[in-house]
Amino acid sequence: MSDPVLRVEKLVAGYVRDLPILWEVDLKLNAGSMTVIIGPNGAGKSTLIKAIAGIVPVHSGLIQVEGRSLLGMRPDQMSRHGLAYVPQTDNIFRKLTIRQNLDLVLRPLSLRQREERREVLLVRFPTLREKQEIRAGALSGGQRQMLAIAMALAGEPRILLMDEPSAGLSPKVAQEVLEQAHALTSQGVSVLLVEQNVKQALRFADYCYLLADGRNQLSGPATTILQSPLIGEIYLGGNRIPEVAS
Amino acid sequence: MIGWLSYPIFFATVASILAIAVLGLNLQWGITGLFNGGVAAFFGAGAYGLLILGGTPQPDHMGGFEWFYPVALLGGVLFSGLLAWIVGLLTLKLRHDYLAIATFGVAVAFENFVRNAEWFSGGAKGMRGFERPLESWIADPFWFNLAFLGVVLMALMGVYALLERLLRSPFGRLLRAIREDEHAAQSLGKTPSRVRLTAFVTGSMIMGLAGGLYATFYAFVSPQDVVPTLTFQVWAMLIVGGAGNNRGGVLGAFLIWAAWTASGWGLSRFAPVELQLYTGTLQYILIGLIIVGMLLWRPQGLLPEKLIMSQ
Amino acid sequence: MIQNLVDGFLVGSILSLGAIGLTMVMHVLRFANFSQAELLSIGAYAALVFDGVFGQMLPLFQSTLEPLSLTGALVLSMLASMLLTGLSAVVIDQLVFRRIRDSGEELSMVFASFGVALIIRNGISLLFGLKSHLYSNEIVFAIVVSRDPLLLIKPDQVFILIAALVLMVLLHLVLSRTTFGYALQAVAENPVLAQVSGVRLSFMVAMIWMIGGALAATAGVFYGLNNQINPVMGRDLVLPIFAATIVGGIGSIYGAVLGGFIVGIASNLALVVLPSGYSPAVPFLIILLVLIFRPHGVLGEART
Repeated sequence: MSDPVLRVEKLVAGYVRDLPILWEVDLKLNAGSMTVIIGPNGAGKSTLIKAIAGIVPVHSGLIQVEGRSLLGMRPDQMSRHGLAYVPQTDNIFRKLTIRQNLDLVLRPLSLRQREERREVLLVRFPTLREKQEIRAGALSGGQRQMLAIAMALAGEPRILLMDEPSAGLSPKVAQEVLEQAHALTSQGVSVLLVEQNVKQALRFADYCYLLADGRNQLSGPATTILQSPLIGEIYLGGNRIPEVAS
Repeated sequence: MIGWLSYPIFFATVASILAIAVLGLNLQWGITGLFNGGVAAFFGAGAYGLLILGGTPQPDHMGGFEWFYPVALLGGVLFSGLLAWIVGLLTLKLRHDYLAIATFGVAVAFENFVRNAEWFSGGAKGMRGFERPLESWIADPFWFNLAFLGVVLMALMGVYALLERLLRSPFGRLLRAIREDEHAAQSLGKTPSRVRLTAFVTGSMIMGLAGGLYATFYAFVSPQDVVPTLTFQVWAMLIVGGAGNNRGGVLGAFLIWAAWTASGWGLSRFAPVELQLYTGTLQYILIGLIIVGMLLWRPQGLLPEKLIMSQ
Repeated sequence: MIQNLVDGFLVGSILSLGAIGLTMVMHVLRFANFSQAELLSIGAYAALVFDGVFGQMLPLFQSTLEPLSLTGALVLSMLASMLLTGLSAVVIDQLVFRRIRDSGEELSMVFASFGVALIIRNGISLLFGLKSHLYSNEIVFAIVVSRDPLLLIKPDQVFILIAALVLMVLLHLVLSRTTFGYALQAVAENPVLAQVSGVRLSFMVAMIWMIGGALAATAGVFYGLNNQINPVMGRDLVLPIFAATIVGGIGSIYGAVLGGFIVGIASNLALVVLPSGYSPAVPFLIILLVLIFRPHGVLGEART
């Protein structure tokens, strides 16, 4: 097994200093894999992704990409480490057109490189091409999600973090999104996503982490987790790994 | 002996009146987190209200209803409350700086109105025609001023006691809860904007009381008494003394008023002639520096807010 | 009345330029900056100083550009003043507002801005004196455009209006066609997402102060050209500029422009019915009306 491309160890994080949401969470993302984080509401799944993306403050612990620590990095510096993040909501700029949204993310590039990359993205997402000059706020939910993913891919990331990409989408579109995410892994991108849509997500994922109450509960290959009877119990709040007395 | 005592009495009276206004501001800012950018207007409403309702009839402007003093004073206080209620109703549901701008605007409009509307307020030359209560009984100015100081101090202590009681009451807890975390307070079923409105109006009425007492003291009020400088002075007093803290507010009032009068006196006495014109300018810079300095280096003030043990 | 309308347009253009910076600061930094209007004063006085200097250094530029009272030196001075005022705004933020922001006391920034305004305004009084100044001592005659109804326009006023519109068009082009403009709009709409998209927040905040300050400088110079330069310029313009941002909708640059013109025109038209002594109160009445009928302004959106 190759070295994990993203490693999180004993992570304690939260918006407020004395009130951590995550407590000593561990996670590994292997190269070229699609790993999904599941868990009941309030488990801290979004917070975990946001902490990796640099949006939620880290109190203690380790976050490393290919051996280099991400702690203290600002969100706008993450792309230097090959990291891209797609938030769950408010993930595009409504006031800007599709083309302007993409150009914004492509800002650091030269004009020519920008045009080339934009072209690549529009080929991949033809719907976006035809609506290039339309304000993102006027798009449908699925189209906005597509744009959000396109924006994340614009920087040619090696690691893609996604927070509930299928939220609010019809089952058919949700499946397309998860398929696309999985397809990325064959192109060398490692994908870490949070999902509420457990069954669908586990069909495409390689590995799975189950979080509840801000702590690791279970982890393992996706197929194993899918068949585990413990999932139902953990979701319904019955059987939780007891908190370690501190 | 009596001669030199006059000045301290005078100083203490004005400082105490301003301290009352600071307590009103403390309720709004220190406890509820509301920014009132127009203290002068609410102070002025109390002052003008009193003189209109309680003054003797004058030829060139309205008023002169000659109401019984406490009632006239109450009238002024209610006038402030009404003004605050209107402004608060329109702005408290919106983001916090709408209140700042609206109160600032109220103060500008109020000063502008009393300066121009001669029929209402006597215009730029101010409003006279007020007989101070009991003045005919206590003929000697010294004893009268001393008695009046006593009244003001009683008012100050009364307001202070009232606010301290309020802080420890469930309402006080609610105010602090809303200041710290509005969403949590909302989940308890209280409407934050309603509660804030109550706090805002009450604080403004306290300022109106201060204004009424001020007008009583001078038996005169003019647009010069409701200029923005007053707002800045009261703010500086609160920030120096300690926001959220009633004792701090009173301390700040005395300190800043002392600094203001001392600097004014010092400049007129010792500064070269060319600089005399700039006395006000220098004082304003002083106030500005105090405000910014305190906010940068000791935002909690000299007497920080103690954790209140509620009963 | 048509004179009032034209005057209102002119005042409106000045208010618009001042309001653009204020609306950005209010929206992105979330505080009502009572010292923003003092940037107009800084701009006007800085240009006065530069004008004196350039006039000496480059005598060629001393001649007026007929029929305006404007000299080449003043144009250069305005540009220099834009830079200086923009930098001043950045410095003030670094010294005062950012420190308060970082300490978590966001609400105190409004309060601090009052203090800053007092210091700037009275500092200018100390440096330049309490009397007013003019850029040029030449007497410029207004052109009688029509006698009945009476309409007088000074050539300087035409220049101001055109220059203001040019600046606004330039800003529009930056916003709609450059990635810097997209980044600015992105930060206004969603600062967290903007950072995730690679925008450096601290740099954009500095740019907001820079642009706001530069535009305020032009507004100050135009005000000085149209009226006179005095230390209380800022104090007199605080409320109208706030009114402009509220009318247009806090956070919208186009709203600020629209709001500026609305407030300018409304204030001047009000003079038809109100005695002129009441004109300082008109912006407040406008604010009241907006708060009653459309609190988020014409182009604004609610933002938590």
